[in-house]
Order: sequence, then structure tokens, then C-alpha cells
Amino acid sequence: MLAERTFTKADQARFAAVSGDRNPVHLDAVLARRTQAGAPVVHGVHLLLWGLEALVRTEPALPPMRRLKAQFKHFAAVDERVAVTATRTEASCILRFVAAGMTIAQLVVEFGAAVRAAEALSAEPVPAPAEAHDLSFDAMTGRSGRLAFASPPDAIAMMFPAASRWLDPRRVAALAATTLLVGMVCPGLHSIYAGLTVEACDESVPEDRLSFRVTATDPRVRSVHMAVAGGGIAGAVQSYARMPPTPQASVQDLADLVEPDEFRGASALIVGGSRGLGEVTAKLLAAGGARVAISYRVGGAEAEAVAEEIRSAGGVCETLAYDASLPAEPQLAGLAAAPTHAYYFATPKIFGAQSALFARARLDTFLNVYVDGFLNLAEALRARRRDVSLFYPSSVAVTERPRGMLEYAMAKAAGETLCAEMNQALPPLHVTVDRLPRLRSDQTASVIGGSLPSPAGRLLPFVRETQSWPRKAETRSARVDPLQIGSAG
Amino acid sequence: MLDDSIALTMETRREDIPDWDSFNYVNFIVAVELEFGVKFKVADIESFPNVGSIVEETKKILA
Repeated sequence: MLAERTFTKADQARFAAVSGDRNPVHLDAVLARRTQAGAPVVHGVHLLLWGLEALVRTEPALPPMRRLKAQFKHFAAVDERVAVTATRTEASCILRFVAAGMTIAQLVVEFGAAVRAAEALSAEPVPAPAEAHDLSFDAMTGRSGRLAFASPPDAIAMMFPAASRWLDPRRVAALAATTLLVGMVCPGLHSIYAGLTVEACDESVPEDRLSFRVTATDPRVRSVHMAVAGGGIAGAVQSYARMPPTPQASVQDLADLVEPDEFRGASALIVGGSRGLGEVTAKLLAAGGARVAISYRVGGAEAEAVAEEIRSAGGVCETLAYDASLPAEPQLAGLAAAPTHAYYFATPKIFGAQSALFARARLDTFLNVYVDGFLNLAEALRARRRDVSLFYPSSVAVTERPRGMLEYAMAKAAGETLCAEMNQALPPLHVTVDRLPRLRSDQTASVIGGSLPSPAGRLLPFVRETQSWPRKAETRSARVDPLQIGSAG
Repeated sequence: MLDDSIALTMETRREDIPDWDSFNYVNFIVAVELEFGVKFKVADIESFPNVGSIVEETKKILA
């Protein structure tokens, strides 16, 4: 192994400052959780430069770089342990970056003399932007410019001194400028940096700028390929324009699906109601006349925006901070009314790269939220109202077990069993369970967008089922399946 | 593709390959398109069940 480390939030901020790539996916936990990454991730170029720094420190007399080819395959999360290994031959060196047992990025360094002179690809000056550009996909086609480095090469050289001595500070700065280009300019705000291939070039008049031109876009997979040149490098950058965060239906749209007084008199708590399926559930209930409280863990502003939309439509909505991994009771103290109904959409990030068949720590993460957190909430609510009715969203993954989702499926199965036990042991409390398919949300977003069904139609029967409880005793005794999977609708 | 050890057959499905995800899949599809000079429809890209179906669609386009 060449080196190992974790990239902290402070490391991220430092690299963002010198590279100029302040894309929220690297720095903002609230906004990053609405992307495919699910949490702040390390800049790919930060990994690359750290790997080169480690390589040159190990082998100070490294031959000159002729070509670099990097592929960024998976995200590396902030605070995740990353190791880099080197496979050296006479003509090249392959750096593999590994996290959680899998290769997340690869860098091939070929040695040799600079191969050609760089030619500027555009004369149009583009300053390093303070905020990431939010471009439509069409606007990316044909885009070009000469992007100013965010910092002088010497500033980057202070972060990567050995790599700068080997490559030249300006080339290191130019590599850093490629992440500035992708993350802030084009594709910009909704970007994924997939890789680059650059060659060392000799420049007659060195400049602290990286010229670029979009050479190909493919709207089917939202790929954006660019030629780059400047700062002593020239080559190509591959990127994707990911789909923006998934907007859910408005209260007005959802009002067409329910009767105005259908849920009147109910007071519903929606845990995780600031976005996704929880947001839709909250809006459905409010459109039907229920008083709703939506909780958030980190997205306070998003929760307040949903609440404001509900209020503007004539509904009653409050927000509260709630962390499903912490004791429920004190967190519910501020609620205006004891909930008659509760919907539990608390979830860790579901989809993620994983190499091992089974990871105990990952199962624990899911169990903590899907089992302990749910029981904890139910007990706290039951102390307020013994006949509280709850909704537990399970998943078709329990039976379908998609590859890489074993721990998620196990935890949801455990949650279902818990719900069945609660229905038998804790009446008049009742839990309605549904195995939800993949529905359109931030968690299921892809670069190929739009094919998943919207959640409202799938959720509404189970909202109605949940709202139908508590029921009279004779009705309850007639039911034989305490799980009620698939019984509504 | 970073892993040269993956041996594809006509029956290989996305879920058969460790660490495979939509990002890898898109990269793979784009690589096939570049290699053979074809363009798949979005609906096909989303629904190819295995390598064999990609091969068949490629043959169909080239025919």
C-alpha cells in the first residue's frame, strides 16, 4: 500500500478553496443527500492529487509524466477510509484507490517526455465562478471558454508539494482546474466527474487558465465530454450531468386524488416528511384535511418549504427536528398535538457501493433506523395515545433481494416482523405495513431519468388504510393477517 | 471499465457482476456504442436484461 487516509470536512473545504470547486455535493450535507452520492463526497481530483503526492514521496526520482488517465468509478464519502496502492512498471504506474474493499478510482501514469504543444480551445475568458452554474442539458452543448484558475499554482503547490515538484505547480493547478470546470462551470451544479485523459504539453506562453470546449453530449445518458488545454496539460474530460433533485407533486396536484375532508380530525406525524415519499404522504394527508407535522434530520429549510406550501394551500403543518437514532420522547415534546397517526420514512442512504457479500456494520446502520428507531417512536407515541396508528414502509427488496442490498432487505424484514409482533402485543396500537417498490425519489435517481413511477398513486391506498385505524374491536378481531402486506387498495 | 477480470457471457446480467451500478452500466453501454458505431434507444438501455440482448440489438442495428 502506498498510503491511507480519511478525507475530513476540513480537508474538503481546503481543497475546495484552492481548486475553486465548491460544488455542494462536496461540502453541503443537506444538498448532497439529495444527489446520487447521498452525502458529501471527496473530489475525484483531490484523490488523484493525493495519490500522486504519495507516489512521488515514495519515489522522488520518478520519470516525467507523459500521460495521465483517471477513472472515477465510485464516490468516496467524507470521513471514509481510502487506501491507494501502486503497481509500477518501467513505462507506467497504476494507482488504485480503494474504499470499503472496492476500487473506487484508478489512475494510470505513463512516463515520458511531453508530447505536443497545447492549443487554446477558446478565446472567451471565463472567471472561476463563486457558485456552481445550474445549466440545462441543452445549454451545455458547444459550450467553451478559457477558465481562470481559482488560485495561483503556488497555492495548490502548498497542498501537494511533492507532486508539484514533479509535475510543475502549474500542471497540478491545471488538474485542479478540471474539477473547477466540471463541478462549477459545465456541467456545473448537477455534475458527476467520470474521468480524464491528459498529456503533458509544452507551452510557449504559460497561463493560469484552462481552456475547454464541449466536444460531445448525449442526452440519453446525460454524458458531457470536453476537450481541455492549458496550464501545461491537454486532453479530454468525461462527465455526466445528473438529474436535478426529484421534485414531488404539489399539494394542489395531490388534492385531486383525495376528498377535501377525507382525513379531517386526524393529527399525523410524518417522520422524514421534508422530501421524497414522506413529503408526498404529508401533502396527501394535508390535502385531505389532516393536521400534519413533518420531521427532518438535517433538511430544516426543505421541511419548512414543504410546510409553507401546505399552509399556503390552506392546510395546517408544523415542522420538528427529529433524529431516528436518538430517543424519541424528548424530540416529540414540542408537538402541538398528540399524533393520532404516524408515518415512518426515516432512512439512511440505501444505495451504495459495496464489495463484501455481507457487512455487519451496514446491517447495524439499517437496523438502528428501521427497527430500533421505529419501536422507539411507536412507544413514545403510544404513551401519548394508546390507539395510535402507524405506517411502516417496507420494501419489495425483502423478497426480490437486489444485489448489493442484502443488509437493507434483512433490516426491512426484521422491521416487518417487529410490526407483526406489535400488532399482536400492543393493541389498540396498529401498524400498517406495505412493501413499496422503487418509486421516484432522490434515493432512486439515476443519470437515466424519469422511468420510475411517481409515489402518490402507490402510497394513497396505504395512507387510507393507515387512516382507517383505530377501528372497532369486532373489525380488528376479524382480521387474521397482522402484517397486512398488500391488503389495502 | 476498471476490472479486466470480469468475463462476460451472453447470459451475464447486471446483478451478476460485483460492484456493478448504473454508472458502470452507462459507461459500458457508451463503450459498446463507440466500439460498434451504434446508438441504442433510451428504453432499450433501461431494459436490456443481459449481455445477449445488447449483442442482439447491436446486430439488429448493424444489419
